[in-house]
Amino acid sequence: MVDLGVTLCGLQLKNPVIPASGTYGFGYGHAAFYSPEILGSIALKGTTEQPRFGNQTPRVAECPAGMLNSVGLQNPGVDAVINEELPRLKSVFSGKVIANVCGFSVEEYVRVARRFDEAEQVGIIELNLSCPNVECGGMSMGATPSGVARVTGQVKKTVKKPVIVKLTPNTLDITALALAAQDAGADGVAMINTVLGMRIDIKKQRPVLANARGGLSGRAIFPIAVRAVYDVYEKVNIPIVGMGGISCTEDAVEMMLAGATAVQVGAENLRDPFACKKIIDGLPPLLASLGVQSITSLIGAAHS
Amino acid sequence: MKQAYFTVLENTPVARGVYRLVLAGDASDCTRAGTFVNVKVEGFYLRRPLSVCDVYSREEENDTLVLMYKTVGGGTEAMSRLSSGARLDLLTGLGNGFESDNALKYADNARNRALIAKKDAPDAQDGALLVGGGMGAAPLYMLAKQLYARGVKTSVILGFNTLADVILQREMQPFCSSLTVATADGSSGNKGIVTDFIPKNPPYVYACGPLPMLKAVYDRCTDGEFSFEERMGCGFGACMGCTCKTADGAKQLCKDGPVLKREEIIW
Ligand SMILES: Cc1cc2nc3c(=O)[nH]c(=O)nc-3n(C[C@H](O)[C@H](O)[C@H](O)COP(=O)(O)OP(=O)(O)OC[C@H]3O[C@@H](n4cnc5c(N)ncnc54)[C@H](O)[C@@H]3O)c2cc1C
Ligand SMILES: Cc1cc2nc3c(=O)[nH]c(=O)nc-3n(C[C@H](O)[C@H](O)[C@H](O)COP(=O)(O)O)c2cc1C
Ligand code: FES
Repeated sequence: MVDLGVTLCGLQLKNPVIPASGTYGFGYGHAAFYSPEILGSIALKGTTEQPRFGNQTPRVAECPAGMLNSVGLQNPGVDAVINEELPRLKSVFSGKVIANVCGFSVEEYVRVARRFDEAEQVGIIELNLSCPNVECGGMSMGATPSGVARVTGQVKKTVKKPVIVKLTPNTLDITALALAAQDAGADGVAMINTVLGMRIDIKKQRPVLANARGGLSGRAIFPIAVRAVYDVYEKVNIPIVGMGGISCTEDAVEMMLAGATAVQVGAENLRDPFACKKIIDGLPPLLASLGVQSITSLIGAAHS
Repeated sequence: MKQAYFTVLENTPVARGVYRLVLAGDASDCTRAGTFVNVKVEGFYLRRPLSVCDVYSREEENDTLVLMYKTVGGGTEAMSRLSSGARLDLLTGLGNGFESDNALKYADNARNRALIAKKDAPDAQDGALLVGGGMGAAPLYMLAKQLYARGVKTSVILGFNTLADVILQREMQPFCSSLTVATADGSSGNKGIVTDFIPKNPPYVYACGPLPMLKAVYDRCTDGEFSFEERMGCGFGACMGCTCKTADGAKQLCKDGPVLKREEIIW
């Protein structure tokens, strides 16, 4: 028997596979296809204090080996997430979930994080300091080490649960962001969020997305994510949740070799609703064929 | 909602750039007119949403699923090159679909109103008016068939640009009491646009077509259902890609739509 269990910031996960924020709703949509109970955990859709409609449509665009999105943090607001979405999720997933927190000011991050700190189902708070699709907040606060440090420090002062900071690749040096998060007290980092991109409709001669720019995700960004996780692993000693373009079991293993303790799967859930299940089912045979007994031995194993 | 593999039985051009794709597989989730499937196309990242046009279920055999699509870009062009025997990965049973019960209710109410008012009420037996523009005819074909089976008297108006674009006219005929085809250039049927042929007091309306057509039909009726299109990331409610504003708040067109009731719509 291969042991798939990992410990992430004190949380025991039965395996390291977690659907990424924004690609799994509030957890129960995919239940029509398979039971979410098989998952290590679930990262919820980014949540703000007030309900948000998000950006105009079109919000998604086809790309070679990937997609752009400019959803713009559509969510029903933290009250509705706690009072309506979490109870609904509870009926299909009994484990602890990861709450993805977003805000438009440091104070909003703190207030939303505090609400989730009190929610029993939430095991980890993930600060989304990397959404490229909103004017202020998100990436605009998370693209510099000082911004990361400010939000992380304030949230850490207020909450008891572990805090993971989700980083953007749209910056000069992602390792500097990771170090800033660690120095401000973060319990882990999650990376990468989407890579800024654009498509233009050649017939209309206009950007495809109503918001013009969007975030690229899917297979296309996998090498970017592996490099980022590899470099950050060399600099920090807090756990890394690796993501960006993971589409199969081999990718998940590769991401762990780069230094990830757990992995998140995003866009692949949208084109193949069974993506996470297939990745999990593929782990025992793949690890057996690699002669690996415990999945934790993969973490960072590519580093000399 | 299901994921299932289908085998291509037929993929034949039926009008200018329009193909009829006949598939064999498990279509048990495709029973409702106005719902859609999401098709994985080799070489493309996102799936392509297509309305269910027709379905025959067979005991102890594969169901037959019929889709109609127009080649408008890379994905649909790649589909047009599929030959029979090819396998396709589909998500089925997506979206809410049309509610045929509403036409029945409307027909009953109209009958009652006709007894009281006598005049200006719609023809006592006319339960539904189906209005389709271009590829919007595809889901309406299945709806016409289902309304016919339930004894609802149905009129149909289909609009196209020109004769070469006309689809489903012959197939729809047996299931409706009247069928009007309108072409912008008059090359087939009546010259004009669909709204030119909507009667003064239309019964319950079911509409599917381009946005400007939907809006024009909306302005000409008081009650009905309208099928909308939006670019989709997933088709099953996971990505928030397909959101629209309605009188009942934000809705996901892939899950709470693509069909919206007239009173929900905000333009
Ligand atoms: C619920 C629903 C039902 C549909 N039913 C039918 C049908 O029965 N027959 C038919 O011919 N077409 C239908 N469409 C439109 C069809 O999905 C698009 O024409 C098709 O996806 C275009 O793909 P493409 O790669 O050829 O075009 P491209 O323009 O190259 O596509 C690029 C991207 O845009 C998306 N896209 C482009 N146009 C549309 C559109 N109008 N609506 C949604 N997404 C779009 C594609 O999915 C893809 O992600 C339906 C759309 C929706 C939302
Ligand atoms: C449609 C969509 C919505 C997303 N929404 C969020 C979000 O609300 N919060 C967040 O932190 N990341 C969000 N992301 C980013 C993903 O969680 C992930 O970081 C990114 O897509 C890279 O992983 P992938 O290539 O596996 O998709 C979203 C991504 C997509 C495709
Ligand atoms: S297309 Fe993903 S939520 Fe509707």
